[in-house]
Amino acid sequence: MAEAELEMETFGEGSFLKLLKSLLPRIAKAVLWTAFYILLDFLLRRIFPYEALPMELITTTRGFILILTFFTLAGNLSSGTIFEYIFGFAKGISLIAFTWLAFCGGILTLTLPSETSIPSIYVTVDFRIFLGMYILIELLGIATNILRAIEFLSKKVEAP
Amino acid sequence: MERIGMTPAKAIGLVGRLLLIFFFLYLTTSLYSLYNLLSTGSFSLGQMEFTITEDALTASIPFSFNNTGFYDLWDLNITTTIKDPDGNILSKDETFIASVPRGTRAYETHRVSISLAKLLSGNLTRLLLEDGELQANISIGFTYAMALGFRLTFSNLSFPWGAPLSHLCLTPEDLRFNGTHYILPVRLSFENHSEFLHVSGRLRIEAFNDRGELFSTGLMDVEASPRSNYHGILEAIVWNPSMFTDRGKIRIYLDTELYHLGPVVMAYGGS
Repeated sequence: MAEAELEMETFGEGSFLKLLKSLLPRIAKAVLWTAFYILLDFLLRRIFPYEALPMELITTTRGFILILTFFTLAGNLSSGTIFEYIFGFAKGISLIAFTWLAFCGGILTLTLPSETSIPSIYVTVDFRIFLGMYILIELLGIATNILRAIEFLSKKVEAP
Repeated sequence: MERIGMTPAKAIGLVGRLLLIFFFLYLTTSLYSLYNLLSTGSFSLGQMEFTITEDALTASIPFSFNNTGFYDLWDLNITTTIKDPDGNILSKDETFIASVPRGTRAYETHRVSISLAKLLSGNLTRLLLEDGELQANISIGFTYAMALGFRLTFSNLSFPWGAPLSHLCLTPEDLRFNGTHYILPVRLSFENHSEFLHVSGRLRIEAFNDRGELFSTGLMDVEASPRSNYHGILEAIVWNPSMFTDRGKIRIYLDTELYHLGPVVMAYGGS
């Protein structure tokens, strides 16, 4: 927030270039991360042909990548402000909620399409251990964001 | 941490990122490996064989699992449940392999046993006289890479049940006298549609006239191998020829080592 205020002051002084210079690395970082997630989506599509996967799984993967992209973009653009940590916190919460709901608590049952209704073929994948691991890591990320926000605010208070 | 210029928040963040990278590597490689395992036909089934003992029918299905993936496979199990046409469970069998380490192939035979006594106890008459369908559910499950549970279930698989006494037919002919007794010749025929059940036993009939009075009984041995037809004539002794009527009922009893059928009541004469 301090940097943002500083930027506004400098902008007020007519130094548009300075503002652009401070914004450019953030935009570049945001674009790079977004490109990374788009590349990840592309790679996943190459490794696991989407045509062979059920629609629910494709939607889930896309939704996951969309959330990641949005929060990474927002977090990077607001880098150096308190919003960076707020977006980081929100990203963690959103991803935990999304993965929990999308993967039905870790047990995913899919009915494979067959030419006739009999016999029915069901595929059940138990992701619970992976989901548990992922949620713990995301909780660690949330804790990091809280600590960083406290650090950021304390620095701001300490600053003359 | 302060000495190397890293705050606790940054340290936790770094650990979190490293864990996330390891997590996604683990998840991606295990999913990719599992997908490859399933799509390249690592699981193969052999020729099914049937064995019939005195009290059970056993189907043996040899299978193998070639673990060409990156990780070990645990708790491989195949479960088969067989139900009769009414949905009653006739058999539930499981074959379990504790582990298939990567780069190895496991061989096992899944055996499904159906107790003939159990099979025939519930719906004996129906199963012996009418063709039908038995239902099966087959489930294959395992744990991959210590963390990924996978289960494939085929439900409502049906396979035909051939009745050993299909199209059972009894046709009484005219009474005749053999010098000592009056005899009622009864034409008997049935089709053994079963793939494995041998019909071998003693058939007994009791004939009743239209007033419900017993007037004749008879016995004969029957023998029919699987997928064969049986035709024979049973000669029943008539105790009182005056009681014989053109219409009536015949009660049929069949005693074999495996099962006892009867009474099956069939009408004779008229429509």
